Formats: sequence, structure tokens, C-alpha cells
Amino acid sequence: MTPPRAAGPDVLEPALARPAAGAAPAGADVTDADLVARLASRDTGALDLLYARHGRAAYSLARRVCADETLAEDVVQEVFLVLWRDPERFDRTRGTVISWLLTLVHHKAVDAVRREATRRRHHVPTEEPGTDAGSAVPSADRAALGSVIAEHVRAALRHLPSEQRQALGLAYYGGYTQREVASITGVPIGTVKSRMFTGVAKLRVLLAPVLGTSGLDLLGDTW
Amino acid sequence: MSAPVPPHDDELAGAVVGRALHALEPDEEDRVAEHLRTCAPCRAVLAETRATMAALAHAVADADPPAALRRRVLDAAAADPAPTPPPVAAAPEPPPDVRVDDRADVGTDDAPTAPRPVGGRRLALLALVAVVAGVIVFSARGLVTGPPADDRSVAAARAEQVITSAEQRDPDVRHASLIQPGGVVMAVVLDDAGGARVVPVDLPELGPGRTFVLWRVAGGSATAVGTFDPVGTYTPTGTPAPTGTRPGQGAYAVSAEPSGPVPERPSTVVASGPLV
Repeated sequence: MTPPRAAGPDVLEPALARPAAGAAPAGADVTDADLVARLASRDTGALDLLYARHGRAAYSLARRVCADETLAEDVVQEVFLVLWRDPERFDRTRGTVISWLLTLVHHKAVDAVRREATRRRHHVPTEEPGTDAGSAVPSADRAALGSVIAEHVRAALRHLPSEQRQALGLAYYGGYTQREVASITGVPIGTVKSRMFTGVAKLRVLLAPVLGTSGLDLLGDTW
Repeated sequence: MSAPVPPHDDELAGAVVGRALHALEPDEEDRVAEHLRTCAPCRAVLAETRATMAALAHAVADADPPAALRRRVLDAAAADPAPTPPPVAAAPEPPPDVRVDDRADVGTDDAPTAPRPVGGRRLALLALVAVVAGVIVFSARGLVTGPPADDRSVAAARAEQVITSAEQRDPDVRHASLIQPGGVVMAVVLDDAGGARVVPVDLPELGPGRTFVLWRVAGGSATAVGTFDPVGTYTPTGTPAPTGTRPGQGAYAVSAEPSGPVPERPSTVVASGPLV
């Protein structure tokens, strides 16, 4: 469980948290997409706000995939610099900033572990992340909406057949290629692809309530 | 929310999902990338899968980033040079971490632009890797000698992405993939009207007090044109390319040298590649 954060100038807003009542952060009425647009004019304040909103989610994912805190930090820095240098890469008509950002974090993290040859990391994360001690219980500073969504995602993963969950978990959280997943699980690569496709289709249905404007989008663009 | 169904067999549909998961081998990455350029239903699958996968990110154990990371990000941004407005022919190449991973950009696959010879170049690069490494890279069973296949393939893919990105900004840019004896691409040299610059891909360890020197090889001679450190910071020597050669011809090589004055000749060449 993440310990409660102390107050102070360097304390970051939790990525998934909405501000507590009466504690709206600076820039609370600005959407992520607007902040990204401001990056084109080299507005470091906008970058700071984006980091405050999403740095935690980005770091959490990077650390999970990299299984290495230093690598995870490098990945997060790299991703935010990508955003800083080339904000036009984000197209608001194709999704939310947070989805785009996390996709980039995932790709960079996978690249990092492959590059560092630590992809055979310390654990094989075949289980869904909700089984992690600490992640099953919402952290103290995670606000209600973020917790609900996180639990919804974990529940969706638990609803998947174990072989589909394993295939997706190895690829997404472990950074393994489909061929490697086939080798690890001892099934043909075609079976792995089929499991992944079917698993994603099921997840898409199970996560529909949070993939629409009522869920993840709220976290991203209507802060 | 309705799930788009690609008009293909399970194998290809699974490969598209694999691309969204960043879980394809380089050769298949090329195949799927080419397919996506002409298949709107599969692009829809890709986009939906990415959105679904991004949701999975919220299920990981919460972790506080170090407080110093925020300052690191902001300092790096503040130190980052402002981009030069187009035309970009003479624009400085941004550090490699920006450009080598365009595939991760959500928009890249969904809105294909001009067709890119990705697969062809990747194959050519891998073939070049084989030649430079002095080994037969591929056999019926895959890589047979040298560093792990993934190292070579990943580096080749990164180099290809660097080149593609550079060509999108300047179609006339020349490039040389600097390949190490083991077959791993070390860096890409981009050579245009603004001169040469180095984009690191997979730099080897360099001991303290040493630096990399970039040599332009042409007409039977080698001229030191710049130096760069282990993080890729490139400093041109100001020495013009060898006389009697035309721009775009020859090759580049990298040597590891003691820091200080650049030697007249390279001592230990660690990578090289033709300028194309």
C-alpha cells in the first residue's frame, strides 16, 4: 500500500485521484488536451500539471513492466519529454491524453526492458495485477473514482479464463512477445494470438462502462 | 460499445492485437504495419485494443514516483532546445529517445500517411548487419551466432525508425547505420545540408576518460568529423568532409578514443556502416 503523502511543494497529485472536495488543484478547470496544446508554446507549467495528474499512473505502469525503479524513472522522463517535444503527436480526436500517455509508457517500458536485457525479470507476472499485495486495497490517497475504475479493471481481468488472462498478462505486464508467450506457456503461437484476441474482445465488453465517457475519459480530460 | 471485427483470419487478428500490446517480433511488426496501412477495420481493432490495454494500466499496484522525478522531468524539458520551425533540413536532430519509438504513437497507425518502405529497409538493414558482423545472421532456425537475436533485431528496428522519422522531416537526408562487430546497430548517422549528426541506438559501454569519435570514410581516407559521449551528445570537429568526394558517398565509422585531442587516425573502430 502506498503510504499517505506528506504535504509540501514537491508532493504530486495522485494520477488517478480527483481532488478532494474543496481542494481543487491549480488548473483544475483545464482539460488535459488543452494542457497538451499549451506545450506547443513551451509552457512548462502545463507540463508540470500534466505530470502532476498522470506522472503517478505513468510511473506505476513503468515500474510494473520494468520491474526496476531506475528504468521506470527513465521511461517516465522519456515519455514526458516526448510529449514536451512533440505535442502534436497527440490527436484529441482519437482518444484521451491519459490513454495515449499510458500506451506510450507501455511501449517505452517494454522497449527499455528488452534493451536492458532484463526482460527475464525477477518475476513472471502471469497473474492479474489485482492479486498483488497492496494493489487489492486502494491506497489511502486514491480518490473514489480512481479506485472504482481500478477495481473494475481487476474484476474484468478476474472474469477472463485463466489462459487468456495469462497470455495478456505476460504480454502487457511482462513485456513478452507473442512468440515468447507461446514458449513460456507451451502452446502454439497461433493459440496465443487467438487467446489474446478473444481476451481483449471480452475485456472490451467488460470494461465498456469505464472505457466510455463515464469512466477513463473523466480521469483524463475533464479533470 | 461494439467490438470491431477484422475481416481476416484469427492469426492476423491476433497479430493486430499483438501490435497493440507491443508484443510482435520485428519481422511480424513489419508485416502487420504494412497491412494496417490499407485496412481500416484492423486499424479500428488496433485503436480499440490500445484503449482497452490502457485501461489495464490502471490496475497495477499504485506506486509513488520519487519526488525528484518531477524536477528531473521539468529540468530536462527546460534544457531541451526549442524545435526549429520548418523547413527542417538544417534542424538539429532531437535526442534519439524522442524519435526511435514512433510506433508507440497512438496516432501513427491510425492515420497512415505516405507509404514507408519499412519492411524493405528493415530487411536491408538486417542483411547489412549480417555482412558487417561477418556471420550468417539468419538460418532456418533463426540467429545462429553473435548477440541474442532480439538485441540485433530490436536495434535494427530502432535504427529503421530513426531513419524513417528523419526522412519524414527531410526526404533527402542521407544515413549510415553504424553496426558493431556483433551485429548490433550502435547508432545512426544522419547527414544532410546541416552536416552529420549521430542518433544513438545501442551504445556500448565506454570506460571513463574515453569518447567516441565519428569518422567520415571516403576516397581511402578517414576524417574525424565529430565526437560523442556515451549518452550521445554530439560535437562536430568542424573538419570538412574529405576533399574529392561527393556528398552522400562513402561510409562512417566510430572509434573509441581517449578523451582530449582527436587523433589523426582511428585506433579502435567499434562500428561502421555505408552512407546511403
